[in-house]
Amino acid sequence: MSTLNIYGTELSSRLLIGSALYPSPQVMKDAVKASGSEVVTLSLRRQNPHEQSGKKIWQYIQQMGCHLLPNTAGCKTADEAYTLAQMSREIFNTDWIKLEVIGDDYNLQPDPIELLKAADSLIRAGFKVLPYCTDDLVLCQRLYDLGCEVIMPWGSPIGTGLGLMNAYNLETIRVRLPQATLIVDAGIGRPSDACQAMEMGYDGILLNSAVALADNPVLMAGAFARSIDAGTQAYLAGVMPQRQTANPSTPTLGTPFWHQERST
Amino acid sequence: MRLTVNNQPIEIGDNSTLSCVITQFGAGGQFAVALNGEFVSKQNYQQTPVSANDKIEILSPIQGG
Repeated sequence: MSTLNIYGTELSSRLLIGSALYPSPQVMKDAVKASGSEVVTLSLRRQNPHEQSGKKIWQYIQQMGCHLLPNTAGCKTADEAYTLAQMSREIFNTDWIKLEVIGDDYNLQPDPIELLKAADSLIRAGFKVLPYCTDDLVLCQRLYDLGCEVIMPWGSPIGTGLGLMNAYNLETIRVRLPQATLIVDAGIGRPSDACQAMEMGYDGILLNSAVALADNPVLMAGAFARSIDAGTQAYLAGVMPQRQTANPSTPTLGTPFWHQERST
Repeated sequence: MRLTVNNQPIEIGDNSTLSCVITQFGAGGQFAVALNGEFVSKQNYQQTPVSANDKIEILSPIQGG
């Protein structure tokens, strides 16, 4: 059985799932279970001692027994991301960090310059960095060269559900970085989007809104699990080459009612 | 002296440490702390002095994508 390798940790599910935006903590818990995911993303925010709702979410996440992948959502500079990653490491007791450094508030596009700076600092500090980045080949190469074994280009902007906006770029990254663990992060809307990425040879999918904002998140979580399995198996099986002309699948030898004089 | 915790002003006595600030703020459960943008580990709260106008962040886990 194929597995997803995150910095040496082998995972049987290729789906990484977010913990935000669900109608309730119980639905979140049920959806994560239905997804089969073994990695759950989460974050840090300012504590309000008079507001206890965050504690319940944290308890639910702990009960799920998944690997935790804290993010640096909201950071706009390498320095902010570095500090937040250190705080996350202390709280969650993990070296994994989903590195987000946003450069534009309108489409939440990562800032490639600050992202590289942050990745470099964090790797030097012993973190296992999973950078969320655009589908830019050279940026992905630079991140890989720095030591990011896992790279997570977007399919499209966070929360849009627009799917794979630039399949050519994503395929090129896959071909050019065969050794990297590549995960499409952000923009996935439908199970078919996830399947498409897996058919390209991507190693995994990270999503949140596509499940949490579905009418039935638990049902959708299962749909994504199966679509990712389907795409993985299709990639391993080898998809047939496309052709520009029709080619009959039924043998032509012995075609009934065929006569030489009527053929064209 | 006056400083801010999570962007809220608080008054605290002179010669206070980060540990005093955390106690006065009422932080509980899981949290981590940054002082003027720099992470401070738990074992250093009691030895870390604070000054007027310091900016302290006390963060806790929440759901995230």
